[in-house]
Amino acid sequence: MSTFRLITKELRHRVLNFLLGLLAISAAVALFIALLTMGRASEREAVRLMRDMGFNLRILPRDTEMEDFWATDFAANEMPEEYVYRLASEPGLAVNHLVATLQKKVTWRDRQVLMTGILPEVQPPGMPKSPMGFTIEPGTVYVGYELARGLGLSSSDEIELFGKRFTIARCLAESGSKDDIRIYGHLHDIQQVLGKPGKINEIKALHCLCNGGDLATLRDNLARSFPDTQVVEFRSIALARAETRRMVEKYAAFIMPAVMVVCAAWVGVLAMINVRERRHEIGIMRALGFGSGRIASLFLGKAVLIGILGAGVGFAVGTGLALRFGPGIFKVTAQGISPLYGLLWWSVIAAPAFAALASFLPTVVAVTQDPAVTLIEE
Amino acid sequence: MVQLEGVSEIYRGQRGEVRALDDVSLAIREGEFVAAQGPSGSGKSTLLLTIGGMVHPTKGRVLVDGKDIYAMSGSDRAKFRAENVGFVFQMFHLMPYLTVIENVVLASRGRTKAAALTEAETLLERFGLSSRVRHKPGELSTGERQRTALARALLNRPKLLLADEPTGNLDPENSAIVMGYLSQFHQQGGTVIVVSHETIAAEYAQRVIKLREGRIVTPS
Repeated sequence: MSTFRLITKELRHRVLNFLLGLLAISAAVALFIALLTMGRASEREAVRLMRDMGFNLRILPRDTEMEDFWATDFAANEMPEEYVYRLASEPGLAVNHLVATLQKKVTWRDRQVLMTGILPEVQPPGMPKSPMGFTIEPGTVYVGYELARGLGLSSSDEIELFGKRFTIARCLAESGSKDDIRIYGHLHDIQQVLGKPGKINEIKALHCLCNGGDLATLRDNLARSFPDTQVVEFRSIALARAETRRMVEKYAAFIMPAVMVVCAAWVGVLAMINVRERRHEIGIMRALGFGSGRIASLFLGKAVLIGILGAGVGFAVGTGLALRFGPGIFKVTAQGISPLYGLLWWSVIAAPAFAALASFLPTVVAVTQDPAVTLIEE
Repeated sequence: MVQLEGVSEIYRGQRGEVRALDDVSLAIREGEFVAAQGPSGSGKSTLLLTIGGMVHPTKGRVLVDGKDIYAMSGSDRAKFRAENVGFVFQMFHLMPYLTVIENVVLASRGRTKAAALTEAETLLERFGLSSRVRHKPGELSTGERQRTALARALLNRPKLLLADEPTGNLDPENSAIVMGYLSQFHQQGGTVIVVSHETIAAEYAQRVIKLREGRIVTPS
């Protein structure tokens, strides 16, 4: 009779032991799946929200007077343009979509103008992303609504800015903000116009929450690598949600190992009870010529089978829990949570391995138990 | 067939050393029917399991068909046991989740599944269990259970049948039936060693060995 058939027959005979084992494995898998499914959904939601709201980090020269900065909305001091490239290639910084800018308020044609040079987005190596903002070609400018309207400018017009000629690529729609008095140009053009080659006064960036980056860590890393910079972060609903997620992850970091230990002990105790209950069977198997490998395979095979079934049940229950309770806990839209089928395959590998590991000691006991003792004890 | 040379089996328990077998030397010829008798704790079961390759003696050698079975590796001894030795126990030790026929074929070695089933059906018919083939042990009488265990022990046509108190749980009628089957096996050329504290085994045996405190006191 095959080992598998012996296992399934024994499972059907000792249903309670089987169900209790299945419950333990299913509970552990369900908890994992629920937390991971909700966590991933929350992460996606936070990333989406942050992308939707745009840049959330502003990296400024360290000696920037923040009072002036908030009054004017740009830093009076400058830093080297190369910082943006160094920042992009700095390992371990959870930032992307880096945009170096140089801004200065000037008077042009008797009007207050915010000259704004923008460098095309720089991405960390190996993380190509579609740009969040616009890219301005050298030799062209975008003109804010108020300026264009007041000066009667329109697209394709040629203008001269402090001795350098530009073509207006776009006249921007009304924004109801300072942007209406801006002239945007390529960073290198504006640096030349303002007489500040190689200088910038701000790097805008998107603080990535997906890699577990937090602001304190980012600030520490920046202070170490770029001591003459400082970071300002926009608080946002995305951050609030990320904090909720981190809080849940923190609790999960405690709960998961505890659940794992309890479930492993549970499965181990059940396996030990099973070994104890079957000691005469083991003895007679020995007498019938079953080797240690065959006897071990009966117990480990049973654990693996329970693990596989537990993985399936746990995945279904965990996904169900995530769909049911995820939106409430993580403030994620219900549509944002979807089953992570990839985790099913991981569960099918990990849960049997976990169950087999938990049953290892009882299996050793089964294999090493003296058959003579059990066969003589009548 | 079976030869024990100065075999001792010493357990170290909480109350000190227990000599289950104490310098036992014994020879059993092929085709012999031997009964070992003695009070509880005299070492009868240990003797049987030692001969069957289940208890590694502390001292001495056990030769079966001229082979030192404890010089073999564990897996070789298990194979040797499966092919040459049949066991019958007082408590039957049937798998409760297998049917009668599944219990019998569980021991099958070196034949196809179909051949094993045919052989098992023949044995069960011989032992009057044809109507019980698909029953579980829990649905059988004690006599039927012991006959099932006997069929299991005989499936691989062993040369040596070791029975530990095979009638210990049976009424006189079933005891006689089981002993009759053991006797039949012996008459067909098999070697039988039965340990029992009951007198019925001695009625069928050619030779009775008496044990006391791990020593053979009256080999006949």
